[in-house]
Order: sequence, then C-alpha cells, then structure tokens
Amino acid sequence: MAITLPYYLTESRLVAALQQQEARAQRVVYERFGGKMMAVCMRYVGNRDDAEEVLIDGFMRVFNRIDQFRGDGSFEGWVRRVMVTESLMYLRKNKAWRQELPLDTITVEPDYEWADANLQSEDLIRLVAQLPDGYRTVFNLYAIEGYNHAEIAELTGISEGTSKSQLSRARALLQQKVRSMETGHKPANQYGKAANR
Amino acid sequence: MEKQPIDDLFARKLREAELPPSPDALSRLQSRLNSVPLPTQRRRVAVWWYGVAAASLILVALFSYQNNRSIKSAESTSLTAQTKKLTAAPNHTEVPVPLIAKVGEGAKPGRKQQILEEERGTVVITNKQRVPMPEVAEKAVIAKNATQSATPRTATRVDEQVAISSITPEPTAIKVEALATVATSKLAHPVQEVPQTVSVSTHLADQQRVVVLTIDEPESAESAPDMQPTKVASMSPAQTGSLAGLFAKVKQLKNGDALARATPVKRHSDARSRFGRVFEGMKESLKNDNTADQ
Repeated sequence: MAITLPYYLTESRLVAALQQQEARAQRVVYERFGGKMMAVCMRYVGNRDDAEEVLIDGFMRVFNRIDQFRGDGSFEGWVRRVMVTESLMYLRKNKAWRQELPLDTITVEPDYEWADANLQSEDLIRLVAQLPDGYRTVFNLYAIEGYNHAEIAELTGISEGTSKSQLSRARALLQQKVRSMETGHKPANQYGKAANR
Repeated sequence: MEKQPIDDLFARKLREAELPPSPDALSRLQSRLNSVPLPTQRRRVAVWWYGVAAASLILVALFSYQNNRSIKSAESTSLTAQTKKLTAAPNHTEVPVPLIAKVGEGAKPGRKQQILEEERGTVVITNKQRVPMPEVAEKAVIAKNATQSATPRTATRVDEQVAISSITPEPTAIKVEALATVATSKLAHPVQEVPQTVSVSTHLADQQRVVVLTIDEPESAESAPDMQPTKVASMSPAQTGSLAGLFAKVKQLKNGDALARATPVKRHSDARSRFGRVFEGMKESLKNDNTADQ
C-alpha cells in the first residue's frame, strides 16, 4: 500500500520554500488555501469575478511579502489577514461603501436552529454578498474575523459609531433574509434590491 | 459581551467555508508570477545595476585622474626641458657656433623661436629687447671684435656674453656693469677717461682677450668718429648728451658713488651741454669725496 506524504511536511518548511521562491511551494499554498481564501474574498467583495481578481492579487502579495511572515501566528492566519487587507483595498478603490440605508425594525426573529441545520455555507456567503458594501465589510470584520470596532475604524477609516451602526443594520438585514429563506418567500423591500448583485 | 445568535451562525458556518476558485485562476496566477519579477529577483537586478553604475563611475574617475596627471607631467617635462635649454644655452661652447649677432632684426619672435634660435647658435636680439644706445654700441663693437678674432675660444666667449644679454632682459645698468666686470677682470691697460665721449673697444694680444673700456663725453665724439658707433654718431646732440650723461652716471655708480651729491657746479664760460656740466659736477663731487676720505 502506497503512502502519499505531503511534499512539505511542516509549515516552516513550506515557508522556507516560499522564501526561496519555489514554484512548487507556491502551487502547494494555492491548492491548500485557495478555496478558503476565495470564500473570504467573496464575502468581502461580493461577486465572484472580482473576488477571484482579489484572490490572485492576494496570493501575489503573499508570495512577494513572504519575508514579512515572522511565524508568530499560524501561516493560514497570516494569509487570511493578507486576503482581508487586499479585499479592503479593493473596496476602498472601487466602491463607495459608506452608504447607510434606513433600518427597518425586526418584528420576528428568525429560527437559528433551523438555519443552522438547513442553510449551507454557500447560501450564507450569498446572503452576506447581498449586503451593501459598508454593512458587509463591518459584519465580516466584526462577526467572522473577530475585530472590535476600534480596529474596524482603524482598518476602514470610519468612526467607531459608524461601525456600530453599520453592524446593527447588517445584522437586521441578515435576520430578515434568513427569516425570509426560512419562511420560503423572498423579502419584498428595498434592501433586497440594493444588496442584489 | 454576549455574541448575537446571527453573528454566531455566520461565524460558525463561514469561518472554515471554502469556495473553489475557477480552474483558470491558477494559470492566471502563474502567468502573473512569471511576468512580474519577484522582489528577490528585483533586488538582484538592482544590486547588479548599482554595481555597474559604481564600476563605471570609478572608471570615469580613474580615467579623468590619469588624464590630468599626464597633462600635468607633460607640462612639467616641457617646463623642465625649457629650463634645461635655458640653463644649457650658455654652455654650448663645445658645439661649433656660427657667430652671428642680429641686432633688432625683423618681427618679434616668440619665446620658442628664440630658444630654437639659441639652440642653433644664432643670437637674436629683438626690437623689444633693444637696449639703449650705449649698450648697442658696446654689443656692436664686441661682435665686430669677436668676428675679427682668430681664436674660436674668445669668439665663443663673446657670443656667450651677447647670448646672456639677449636671453635675460636685465636693466641696462646691470648689463653694462657685467660687461665692465668682464672687461676689468681681464684688463691689460687702465681705463682711460676722456671726458664727454663714450666708446668701447677690445684688444686681443697673445691669445688673451683684453677689453678696454673707454668712456668719453659726447663733445669729444667728433674728435674720434672712428670709435663711435654709427647710430650714436647720427643722433642729435641733445640725445647724445643725455645718453652720455646717463652713461656717466652708470660709470659713477660703478665707481661706488651711489648718490651723486648736488655740489655747486662751477659755471663754464663755453657753451657746454647741460649733461656735460652735470657730468663735470659729478666728477667734482667724486674728487671731493676722495679728498674727504683721504
């Protein structure tokens, strides 16, 4: 029985190979983290084509700035941070993502157990992608990446108050969407139109 | 702070979510990697370019330094050659030298031409270096005597004297003094002083050059026209008087009377020139000094 060993057994070897600009190591990194990082870019950018462009730019940055990786955290975490930064740069360049929409009060909370059991990650990515750029960015940074409002304000250049308000609006919109998916009919309000891409 | 259920749902589901990129994304990434040079490659290229630039700068600096050095050395060698020529010019006694003395001839030759002429043995006294008339007279007489002399050694010496006077433009007094020194060192006969006539003559006897320096006042020049150079003879009496006075002064300086005293001069009844009277006054002062010394 043949045992297939991964080419780079340890992360440090992989990083060392990347520092030597080995094409095989670059390919390994792309194959190992490409899917995850594509999901990250998709969450932030909101459409697949742009997300792929950002993904490629992010990997270029990873390979070019590999010397900046000091090994303090995991390599994957560093690559993810690079991808997030690249996505934010893309948004800053191409999107006006500070728009604020009027918030509808949520009357009925969605059933989260049903959502957890029935909604796939692709569905949730699609729901996040439908959010306006500002809401999406703050929600991604706060709820998924784990940044606080001060960090978000520093990263995005908005105030902490704006970050908080945008987060609450993003939550409200997502709850509406989950609830509408749960009940099986589309929400007929302006947010759906605005977030629809 | 408690996490919102919607945040928790999305965090749990999306944290490890994967979305496969399109199949051509890898080829696009590889083409980007191949087209854009990586930082290490860029660094290598930059280092190479810096090295090339530094090497070229060093080469240019070395080339310019050597160029300057060669120019300086060429200048110094030419200067030393010139100085050697100048210093060696009087020692050309071994080379057969044609004794030609050109006084005040043609256009002014440059320094180089003069040096070349000296090398060839021709002494050129230019218009610029033309000396006052008594000196010219001396030179003419010396040259004439030199050509008449049978011994080449004497002739060479005379030529040397002329060459020295032509190369180094000195004040007239010094030249005359030098000539007079030469004359007095080989003096056979004592200096005969005839008032108011200037003439220089040389006698050669028993292969020994004897220079007799006779200084006359201009008034007696008419009595001895043979001894006078033509140029001096053809000059106006006023000019001749002034020159004679000047020459007398020089002679007085030679005798040691640096400053002629303004002793009252006895007024002569005959119509003498002013310079003649001055000369006599000087002579008188000299006599007074001599008596005072005694």
